[in-house]
Amino acid sequence: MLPTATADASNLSAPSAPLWVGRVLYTFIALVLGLVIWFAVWQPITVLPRIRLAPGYGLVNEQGQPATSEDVRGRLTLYTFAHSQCTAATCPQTTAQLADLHHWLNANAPTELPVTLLTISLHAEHDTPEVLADHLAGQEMAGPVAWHYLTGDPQRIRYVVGGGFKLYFAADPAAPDHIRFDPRAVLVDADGIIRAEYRTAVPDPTLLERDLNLLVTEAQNSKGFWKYGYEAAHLFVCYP
Amino acid sequence: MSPLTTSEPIAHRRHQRWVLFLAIAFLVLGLWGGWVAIRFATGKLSFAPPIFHGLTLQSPEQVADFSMMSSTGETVHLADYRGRVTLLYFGYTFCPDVCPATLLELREARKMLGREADDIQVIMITVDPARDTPAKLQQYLAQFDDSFIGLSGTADELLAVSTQLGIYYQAREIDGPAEYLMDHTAAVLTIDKEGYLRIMYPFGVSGGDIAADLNYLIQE
Repeated sequence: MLPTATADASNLSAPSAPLWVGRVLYTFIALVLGLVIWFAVWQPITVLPRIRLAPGYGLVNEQGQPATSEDVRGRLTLYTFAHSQCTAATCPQTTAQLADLHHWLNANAPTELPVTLLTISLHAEHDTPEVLADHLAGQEMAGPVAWHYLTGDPQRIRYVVGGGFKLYFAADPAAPDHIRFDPRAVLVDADGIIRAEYRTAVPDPTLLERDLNLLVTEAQNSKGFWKYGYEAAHLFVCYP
Repeated sequence: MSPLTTSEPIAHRRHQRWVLFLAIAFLVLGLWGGWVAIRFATGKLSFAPPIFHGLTLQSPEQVADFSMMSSTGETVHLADYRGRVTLLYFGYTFCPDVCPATLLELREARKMLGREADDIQVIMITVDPARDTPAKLQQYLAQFDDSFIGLSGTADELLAVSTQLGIYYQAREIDGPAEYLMDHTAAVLTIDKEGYLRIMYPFGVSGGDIAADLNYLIQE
């Protein structure tokens, strides 16, 4: 007859080692999941998408000075598109509207990073620096946010605007001085990466201010340990 | 028989199963840990998530394909290098300092990759096609690494490719036998194996840092 062990209450009531391990494991998984859900839902870090590289270029401004894509590295740049013969009837964006935009930027753009407004002429054959200077006479181009009109070799501008900024433009066959194009403004960060595109005649000020501030915040905070958070936001969190 | 005594063999068997499970789990963990340790020691693994040493891009579009004349005398397409990590650099042979310095770092990166260097391709596109013939490019790049390829295109081809990749270049006249130098963006563009632009290295990033990033892209 085999000896039978007597019941020992301690064997039945004390939690066994595997049960303890399971509880720790489940708690850890719950914590990680909770953290992920919190990050995704509350979005403590919001970023604008890195869309693509802004095009490289070598053009001239309305003062006849060289203006290259390298000159705006380290600055937030808002690219717009128009030409000197634009009127409200013929163009979705006119110099007058851009002047208003420039005025708004001077008053509202963040100051932590320099901001530049650039307008690329879509009619480079006509818009020489002298023509642009004459067209912009009386316009306030300076301020906390510098504004420049760019022109140059028409072929190069076609590559920059069409190939780089993906904005189609073409002369109206019936009126060659009328350039057909859709309204567009493109926000480029300090590293030369396109971060936002606005497809209205003038970007919504609320959106533009939000986006400028998001870029400034990211430039200031995406360092050290927090860089991981920003990279995670780029990978996993929806864009605004 | 007391009902309490029937639960003891069951508890004992359960305990035995857990011991066996834990033993197997520890064995698997130990083997995996050994594999991780070896890969970490050989630089093929990092415990940190990939934070690249250049500007990270997440473009949804592949880099548009283009074709140019290579330094080997044949026309090549960018798409020919799919399946390998491609490092694109825009430079020229008359470049006094920036281009040689960058190519040296890229050579260093290749060396540090060891056998995995076969999974990358360094390509220099000349921004001075007027002077940089394919033969000249070949001769110049051979000083750095035999595997480096030079590409030369027409003015239009160069303009199209450089613009879309954010590269600026412009001739600047100088006094001297060279007559002019080329100002240009001195960035190295990294295209992954599937043709997506992933990283842009500004001038000055070391070959070691580039190699660490390439390690990750190769393993992807």
